[in-house]
Amino acid sequence: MENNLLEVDKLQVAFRTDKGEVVSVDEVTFQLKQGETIGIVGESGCGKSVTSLSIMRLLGRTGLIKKGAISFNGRELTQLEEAQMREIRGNEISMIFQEPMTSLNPVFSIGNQMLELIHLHMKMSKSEARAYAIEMLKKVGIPRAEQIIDEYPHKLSGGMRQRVMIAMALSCKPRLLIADEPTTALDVTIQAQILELMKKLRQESQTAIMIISHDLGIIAEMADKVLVMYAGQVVEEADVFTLFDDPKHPYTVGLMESIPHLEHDSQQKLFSIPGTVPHLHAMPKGCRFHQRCQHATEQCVTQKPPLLTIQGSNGHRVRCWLYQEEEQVVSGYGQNEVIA
Amino acid sequence: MFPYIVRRLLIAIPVLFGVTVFSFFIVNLAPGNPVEMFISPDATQADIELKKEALGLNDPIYVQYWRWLQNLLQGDFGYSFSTYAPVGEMVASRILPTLLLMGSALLLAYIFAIPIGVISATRQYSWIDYLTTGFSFMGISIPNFFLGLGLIYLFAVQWQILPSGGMNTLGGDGGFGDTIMHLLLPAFVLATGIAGSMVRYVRSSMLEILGQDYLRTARSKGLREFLVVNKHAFRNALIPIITVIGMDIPLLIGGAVVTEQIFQWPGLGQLTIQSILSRDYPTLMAINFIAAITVLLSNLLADILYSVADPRIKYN
Repeated sequence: MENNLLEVDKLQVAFRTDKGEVVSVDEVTFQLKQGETIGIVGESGCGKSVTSLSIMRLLGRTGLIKKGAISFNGRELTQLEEAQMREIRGNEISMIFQEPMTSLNPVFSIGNQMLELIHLHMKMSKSEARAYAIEMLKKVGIPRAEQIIDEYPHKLSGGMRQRVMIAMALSCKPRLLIADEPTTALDVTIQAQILELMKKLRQESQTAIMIISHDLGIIAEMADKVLVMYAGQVVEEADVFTLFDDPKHPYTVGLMESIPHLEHDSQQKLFSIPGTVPHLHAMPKGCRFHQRCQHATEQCVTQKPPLLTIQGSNGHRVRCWLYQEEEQVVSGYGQNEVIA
Repeated sequence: MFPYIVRRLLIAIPVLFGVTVFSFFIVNLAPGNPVEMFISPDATQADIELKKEALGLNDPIYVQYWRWLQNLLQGDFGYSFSTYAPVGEMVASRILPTLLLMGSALLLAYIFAIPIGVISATRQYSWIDYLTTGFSFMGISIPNFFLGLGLIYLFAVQWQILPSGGMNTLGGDGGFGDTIMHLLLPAFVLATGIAGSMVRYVRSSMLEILGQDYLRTARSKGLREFLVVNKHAFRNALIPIITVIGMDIPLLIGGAVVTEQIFQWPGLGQLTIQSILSRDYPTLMAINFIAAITVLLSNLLADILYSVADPRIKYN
């Protein structure tokens, strides 16, 4: 386990609201190696973005990491001073966001925003930095990079802006790239181009990638391993092939069945998981999914399921009581919850 | 940009013309006439009629206006009814004191109001936010005459550390330091109102920007919060601030009437009061004309500054 680049251990994130503190992400644990890609999937509000923002420690004034540890490259991010954290942001860990149309500052030129980052983390003269920024823009497939660098964001299309964001994110050769729904706001052809670009850059630079999406297709295409999140918790963790071949958690199964297929009969109704995600203020006791789960038992209503490791598998874990008999509880994962 | 400015200046000409027509007629609607204001009580009716005839006040209004406009186009504002001095010179001698007072009031107001507004927005709902909100409402609500008289009482009467009015000490050396001492109180009084509303505008404008996605991007680059707020956010909050500045400038040319009167500041505001009281139409018209030009120019200035602040705004 020593060669993990990123280890997130039992992360709990809360937000202060008018109605008191609300836990938004609970017991999130995962590891990521150099050059590996992890996909985090789940519906809106399940805590995917909060998980990624807490790694960057960008939770804003109201958010705070309550418990848990985030170890990055041997350093404990939750313990770092803000100044040390700033040296990591944009440099060792960088991020691209969902909304390319609003993620660039409209009043500064592309070059200005790229050079700001390059000057912050790399020692380069003005002309070197500019040449480097142009080179980065070319690398992400921006035509006429020499002219585009002096343009303002509003002159660029969404796809182009996302390319600029990627160029910027990769400028300082980060060890970890967090992509929070990088293609959600783009149309399908541009989506494919952006994913292709990210794959190419991953091959070249061996950057570890954390890709967040609600689109299982993107996860299947990009990720080596997958975390499925529901209501602020990881409900299933597996490598990408296992997850798609043999999903265990009823929620994951439901997600898979909700994907429309071209060959399906047009009369057939698309499957959907009944009910809605429970509100953060009113998390159900026991399993957080039990109200929407067709397999729910008495135990699911009263007892919180731990993250169980499936025997004989390679790190396939699932947070569901259905698997408690055939699988064993691995020490360290949720043991205390069972007792509680 | 240059053709745009030329076009705007050309459009300003008919607007100015309209303003002069309106103000000329409105000024003449005022009850009383100039002659009664300055002639001695024992003058006969014949004397008054003679004087009115000499000043051209018996002609129909549109004839009077035409005469005034013709003179104006030759750069001649006419002669004051009350002092017989050339209006152009009278007004010109008042412009510098007014600009000095206005300039220092605006500078003083913005130097404090803009940072305070930014701080207030970044710490929304904190005690410091409530405090600045309270003070800015006080600044907006306290009338200038009240604050002015209060300060004169404290600083000039009680403590005797600042002069109560005027621009220079009578019989003094008239030096710059002396003028500054005279400037402090009126500039402060004017600045409170301007600063009060500016704090509110900056705060709300910044609050709108502070939730934007691009600030998260800026933070994710590892930028210091100081730069995130003061570079990335503030630059975007500038548009409403420029609008307010564009409105403040002309407001002050005419708006300092009360303050200049209280502090006996020899500026345009004081001249306005004097010329209204003596029904000095030529002087009043000249001041109106200058005020109208100021409004048009500051609007144009604001529009130009918009395009400097925000590259998405282009004039073609």
